[in-house]
Amino acid sequence: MNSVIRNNIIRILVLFFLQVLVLKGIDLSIGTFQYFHLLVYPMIIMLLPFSMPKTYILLLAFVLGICVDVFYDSLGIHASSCLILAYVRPLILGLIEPRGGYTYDVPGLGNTEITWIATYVALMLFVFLISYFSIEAFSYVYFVRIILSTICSFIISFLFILVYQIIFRTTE
Amino acid sequence: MIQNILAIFLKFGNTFLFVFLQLICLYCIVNHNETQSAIWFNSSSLFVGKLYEKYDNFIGFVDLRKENERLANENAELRESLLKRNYSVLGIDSLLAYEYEFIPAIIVNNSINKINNRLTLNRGSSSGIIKGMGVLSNDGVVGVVSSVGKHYCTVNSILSISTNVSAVEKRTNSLGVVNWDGSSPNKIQMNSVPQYIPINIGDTIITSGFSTVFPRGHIIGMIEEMEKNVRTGYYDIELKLNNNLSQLQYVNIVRNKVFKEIQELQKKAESE
Repeated sequence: MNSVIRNNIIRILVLFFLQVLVLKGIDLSIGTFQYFHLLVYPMIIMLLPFSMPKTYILLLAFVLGICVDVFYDSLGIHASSCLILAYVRPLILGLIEPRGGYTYDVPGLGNTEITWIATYVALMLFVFLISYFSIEAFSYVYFVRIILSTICSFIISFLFILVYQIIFRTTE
Repeated sequence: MIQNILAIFLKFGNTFLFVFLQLICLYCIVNHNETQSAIWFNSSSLFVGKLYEKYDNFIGFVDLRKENERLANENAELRESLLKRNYSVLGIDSLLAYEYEFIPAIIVNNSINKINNRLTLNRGSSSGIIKGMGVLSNDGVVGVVSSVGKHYCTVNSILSISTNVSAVEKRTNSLGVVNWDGSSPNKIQMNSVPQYIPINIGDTIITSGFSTVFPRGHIIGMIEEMEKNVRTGYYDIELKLNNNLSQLQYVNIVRNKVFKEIQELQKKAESE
């Protein structure tokens, strides 16, 4: 149990600083086409253990979002979308629950198949990105921009997270 | 009872927490991000505007009693002036007066906060309304009928950048055009008055009667500010609108009985 907590704390710190120090600085705009954003820190919320109470997940998501916001200079936007992600996490987990339920505590490639992980990450990432870009635009007038940003950012962030999963297998 | 509330809170505690934290986020977003706060305050003022319009409609209904009293007074005044008129010698003026007919109407929808403001009146083609008729209130010009349904018509308000009204200054009889610039709902602009004409602040501007839309002599407003424009050679005049368009409920639609005749004549003159 202790190792789960320790692993999670390490993962949170590593992903958080990777996001706000390294990935934030990478400019992915191609000319005027500025729809690519590499957002991988939602993985922190995705990979929390199943046994963690929902209340703690919500609070953690809020604090994490505020911390990211401080670096991104957009107070409230990341926090809000992180909260949405934390709130829908149990719903998505229920939706794609394998037959026989979850026999392990930590979602990770070592414990389950790649198809399940891919579905899970795709659903969660999509929810996060669409809420993030909607809140960022703050008006349905920018519908096209929201959709384009979501799709472009989804592709690269999804690939990044999958590669991360393959490299750092969690086996608990 | 308390147990029930506790049970509900335990069951939906996470949802409450989620909503509570989201509200904190919303507060942060609106107060610390420029674009988002601009959008937020713009749309909330839009919402408040809608609410205000609804409230105004309601107050209009409640105000009926007062409005009726005012109308009765006005009726009395009109009767008096009619009486005086009967005693006066019939001259060329009265002939002109019979050229126009007034159809009373009620405003069912009104706006003053847009660039092109419109009113809706409860008269339509069944009452003989056609496009292009003028609309007057007791205090002056309201607008021009823009489209006509069977029982209703819409009016391009004088507070509309697309409405032009031919006007003259009462004392000097100098012709100009009144057109709104879209800024303030109680100020209206007049142009095409040449600079050699001696007009002063406080002079009254009335309808010219040169078009078939309005009869002559209905007040539009008083000159509040004027300035000589060096480039155009005309005055830049700002009028204080005599009519308070935001408080109107009853108006008269002007029917020109010889409208067709004049129009045909003008068409004929143009084609020749």
